[in-house]
Amino acid sequence: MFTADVLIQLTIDGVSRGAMYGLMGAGLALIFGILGIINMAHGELFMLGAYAMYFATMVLGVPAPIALLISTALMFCVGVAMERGLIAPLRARLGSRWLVDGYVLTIGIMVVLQNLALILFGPREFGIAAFWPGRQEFGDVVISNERVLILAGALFTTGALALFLKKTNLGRAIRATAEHPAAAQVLGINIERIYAITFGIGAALAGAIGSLLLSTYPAYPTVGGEVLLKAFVVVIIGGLGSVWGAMLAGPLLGLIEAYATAFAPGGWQNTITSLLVLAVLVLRPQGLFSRQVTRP
Amino acid sequence: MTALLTVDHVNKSFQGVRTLTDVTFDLEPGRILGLIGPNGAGKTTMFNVISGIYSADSGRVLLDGRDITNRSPARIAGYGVGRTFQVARTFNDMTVAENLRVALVNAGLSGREERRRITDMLDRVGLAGVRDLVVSALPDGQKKLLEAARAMMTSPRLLILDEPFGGVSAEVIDLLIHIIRDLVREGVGCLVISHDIVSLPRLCEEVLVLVEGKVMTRGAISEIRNDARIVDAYLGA
Repeated sequence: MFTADVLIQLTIDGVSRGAMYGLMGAGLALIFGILGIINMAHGELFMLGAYAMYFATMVLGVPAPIALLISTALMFCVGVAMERGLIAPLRARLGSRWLVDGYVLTIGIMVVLQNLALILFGPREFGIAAFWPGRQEFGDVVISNERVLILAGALFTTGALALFLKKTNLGRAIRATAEHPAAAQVLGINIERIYAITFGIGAALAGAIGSLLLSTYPAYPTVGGEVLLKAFVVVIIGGLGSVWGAMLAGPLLGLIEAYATAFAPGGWQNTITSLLVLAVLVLRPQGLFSRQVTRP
Repeated sequence: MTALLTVDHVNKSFQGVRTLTDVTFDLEPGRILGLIGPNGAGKTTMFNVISGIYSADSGRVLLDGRDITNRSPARIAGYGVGRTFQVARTFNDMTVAENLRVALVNAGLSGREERRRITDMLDRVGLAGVRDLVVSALPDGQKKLLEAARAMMTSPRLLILDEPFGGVSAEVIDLLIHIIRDLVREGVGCLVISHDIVSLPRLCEEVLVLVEGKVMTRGAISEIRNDARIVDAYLGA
């Protein structure tokens, strides 16, 4: 028997989980929209963020909010360094023919980061029970504090990203570069700088989510794989290269997963998600929330 | 008078095919030069070399005596070169005002000064009424106008316009000619590619003719019109 309380519970669970998927997808879409490559190492940036959060809070004893900021800033720097040190030289060497090589490069980065984590930390999981133990009760609706924290973090990050892209000069320069790089350049925008910053922002988003979800997804070398899959689903549903599409598709995916878990027989959750992806690819390949595929 | 723009023996090839061969010309400040020639003559390639989108294989491009050859487009824009494209490359997901604001990202202006400059430009080009409209909703003619306005927002010393009259209504053409003439009176140099043989003479008196990547001739439109070689080049004779 599914009462209104259960539906509310499922909705909150789905939206909070999906908002995180949305942000992962937004980072992936941002990088694709600007650089034109699918960053296969995006899950590993999530993984690094999770490790950073674990060691900052559990080993160094840094308070969680400050650890979150440190992890996010650190991952921004990792992203910028990856773009400048690995991706930019490849782009400079190959010119317009760099995209396939760039894609393969990110697969290489993924493998290297996974194995580096395995060598440094071993296969064990580094996780925590909860940053904020306890729960909130609203009548019969019970929400864990951790869920509230995740939802608040996701909403804050989504809002901050939207404001940044919409209201700041750098955000406008990123959007302009995504739509017409040559037109942005002739207006004085240094698109090499935009590429690096965008990759840094994508990495920072992945790192922030890895940090926030440490209680749900503990840090281990291949944790990024599952999260990357969710991000792909979100990006396909929202529209390849559409940041706004990904941010909307995330909660939609979260809701579908939450309702499927409750209403469909066991094991159908992934099947329903896969069918949705197939339907979008066949019926609306540009995505549900995108007018057209954005190309660099 | 020192030339604002000097193009000095520029060559450019793509995969062995020569698109510009030894192109040489100059432009003084406060002058408009038309760039004409049949399709595939290398006009847009020339613009792309000047604005840094393509690198020249050899030769030099000077702006006010400064060598800007093969500098990045962003740096060349910073030196004072503004341009438009053959098909307007407006930022269609942004509003009209946001498009102009992108041109000011490096200007270091206060928010109030940015708004003032944008309002002035919108008034100047007659787009004030669509200020907050998303650009994808605009007709092509207004997109052309917006793109020209955006190029002007960078306060260029050299403005290069690629087919500014293509697909544009007679009213917008009149307005564009008026605006460009105003800018040129202020000392800006202007290079214009146009196939519009009716509108181009209203804008400039002198044209440079490119044929198969080479400068065929330069002169007054009235003289060029009667040049048999140019008629042949256009008709493919």
